[in-house]
This record gives sequence, structure tokens and C-alpha cells, in this order.
Amino acid sequence: MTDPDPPSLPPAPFAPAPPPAVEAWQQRLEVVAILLLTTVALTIVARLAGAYDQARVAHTFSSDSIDLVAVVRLAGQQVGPIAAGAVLLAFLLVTLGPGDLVSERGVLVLRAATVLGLVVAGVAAFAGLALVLDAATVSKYLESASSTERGLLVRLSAGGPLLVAAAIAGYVAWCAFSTLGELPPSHVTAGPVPDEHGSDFGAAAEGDGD
Amino acid sequence: MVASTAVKRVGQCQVLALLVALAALAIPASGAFLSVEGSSPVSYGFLGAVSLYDFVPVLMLVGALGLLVSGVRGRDTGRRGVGATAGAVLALAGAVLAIAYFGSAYQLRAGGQFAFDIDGAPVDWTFTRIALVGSLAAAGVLCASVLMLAVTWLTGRRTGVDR
Repeated sequence: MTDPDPPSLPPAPFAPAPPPAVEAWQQRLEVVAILLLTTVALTIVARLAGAYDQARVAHTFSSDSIDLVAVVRLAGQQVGPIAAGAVLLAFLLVTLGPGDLVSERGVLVLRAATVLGLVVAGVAAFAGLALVLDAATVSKYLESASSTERGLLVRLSAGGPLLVAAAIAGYVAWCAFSTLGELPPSHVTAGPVPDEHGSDFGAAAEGDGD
Repeated sequence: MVASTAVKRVGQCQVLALLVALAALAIPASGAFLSVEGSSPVSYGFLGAVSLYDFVPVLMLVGALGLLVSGVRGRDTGRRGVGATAGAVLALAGAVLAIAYFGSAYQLRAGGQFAFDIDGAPVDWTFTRIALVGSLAAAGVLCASVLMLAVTWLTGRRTGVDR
């Protein structure tokens, strides 16, 4: 009579596969995208401050208060299309980069593109609508629109590009937001892959008995 | 068939990157020429290239880098001469634009359009001036990083190392 065999131990759980590595050039392009969005944000602030300063100087000798609508309209005219293009480029750098995976920096870029895209869309749309609806402003800026027939065409030609830029920026913001929701956790990695021979992770995966 | 299409696409991207980088380089070059031509030669010749409200060359530069790098997996399948030329032009344009933006930021820091106000008094460090100098410096940092990445791409292409 022999003792029955001890119950076999449950099989060791499978060691989790190391997270896939993010392509080196994908990480570099994400850094460039961060720098690009930083430059865009600083440029928007600079244009807004410059337009406010310009309006303040213009109203130095008058008792009227500063027209904030004119400030936003002027800043939007100056920065709208370029900022929309920059946000679109940053989004494309991350999503169409050489790698399939996105690092945490890429997620940061997508979040910043969402926020900045909304800001740019708002400023550009405000400027475009103000130009389309305000005939006096257009005639002052473009020195035309003296006749009624040309008024609508001139207003549309002045505000149309800004409205298109607003549409681009808003759609990029929506695309970045939806991309954030579609990214599975396995497609976001924190950093470099640990070395499978020399790291603690490898030793723990082999198991020491407990 | 698929491989040949991929090779063709990488080659097209490299040619496009070369053209966009050339355009990004042409803007500051022509601006510098016109500024020197229109007035006496100044030490900040590049300042005529990138005005305070000119951000287009930066977009072209980053777009050209994205085009060049997007085919990095098929790096050895593209047209070797075109890719190397595009990388070199990109590095040159990055250097020129970095100098231009840093020069503009330095000139603005030292005075520039903020030297005197409408009353003739020197202008202090206003928020507008700080924001403008910051945006120009950030654009300079961006162009310098594009320069470094172009050099990295060129050296990695030569040695065959991707990192």
C-alpha cells in the first residue's frame, strides 16, 4: 500500500508577455508633436496679447472700453489657419507615425490636440463669423465692399477661410478625442521594454516555488 | 506586387519630403536675400525671412520630417540618393530656421519693435513681449530638434541602426 500521490500543484500561471516596444521613431515624432503643440499654444497666447495691446493703444485717447470682440477677431484672423494646420499635423504625426503603438507621450499629444483644436476652432469660428456678419469691419479691413452686391461676396471671402480652418480644427479635435477612446491599453506602453535576461521581471517569471 | 507598391510609396514620400524641405528652406533664404537687397547688409540677415507672424516654414519643416520618417520601415527600399538628399536639405533647413527664430527672439528681447513706444519711451517687459519672445524661442527649439532628428535619421541610415 502506498500513499496516494500528492495532488499535483496547479500549473504556474503564465508569465505575462513583456509589453511590446514602441518604435523609436514613433517616440521621436511624438516629442516633435509635443513641441509643435507647445509652440502653437504660445503663439495663440502671443497673438491674443498682441491684439489686446493693439486695441488698448488704439483706445488710449478715447473713453470707450476695449472691444474684446475685435480683439478675438483680430487674433483669430492672424493665427486661425496656421494653428489649425499645426494641430492637424501634430495629430497626423502621432496617428500615422512609423509605429503601431503609442506611448504615453502620444496620449498626451492626443489630449492636447483635443483641447487646442477646440480652442483654435472657437477662436477661428468666432473671427470668421464676425467677419461674415459684420460688413463694416470687412469694409474697414479690406477697403472695399462699397456696393451692396459685392458686400456678401467680400464678407464670405474674408471669413470663409477662417470658417474652414475652424471646421478643420474642430474635426481634428473630435478625431483625437475618438482616437483616445479607441486606444486599447495594450496599444499604450509606458516606456522601454525591460531586458528579459537581466531584469527582476525575468527572475520573478521563472518562479522560485511559491 | 505589394512590395513594389511599398517601395514606390516610400520613394514618393522621400521625393515629397525633399520638395517640402526645399520650400521650407526657400522661404527664409529669399527673405534674407530681400532684406539684404532692400537695405544695407545687417548682421541679422535672416530676420527678413521669418517675421513675427510667419509660422508656415515650421509647419513645412515638421511635415517634411514626418514624410521622411513615415517610411522608416522601408528605409532601405526607397531611393537612396533622394532620401539622403532630403535628409540633408531637412537638416540644413532646420539649422537655418533655428538660427532665424533664435535670432528674431534675441532681437526682440533686445528691443526690436518694442524698443520705443508711441511716446518715444523705452518699452518695459510687457506680457505681449514675453509671449512673442517665448513663441519665437519655442519655434527655434522645434526647428533645432528637427535638425537633430534629421541628422539622427541620416546617421542611422548610414549605419543601419534604427535607434
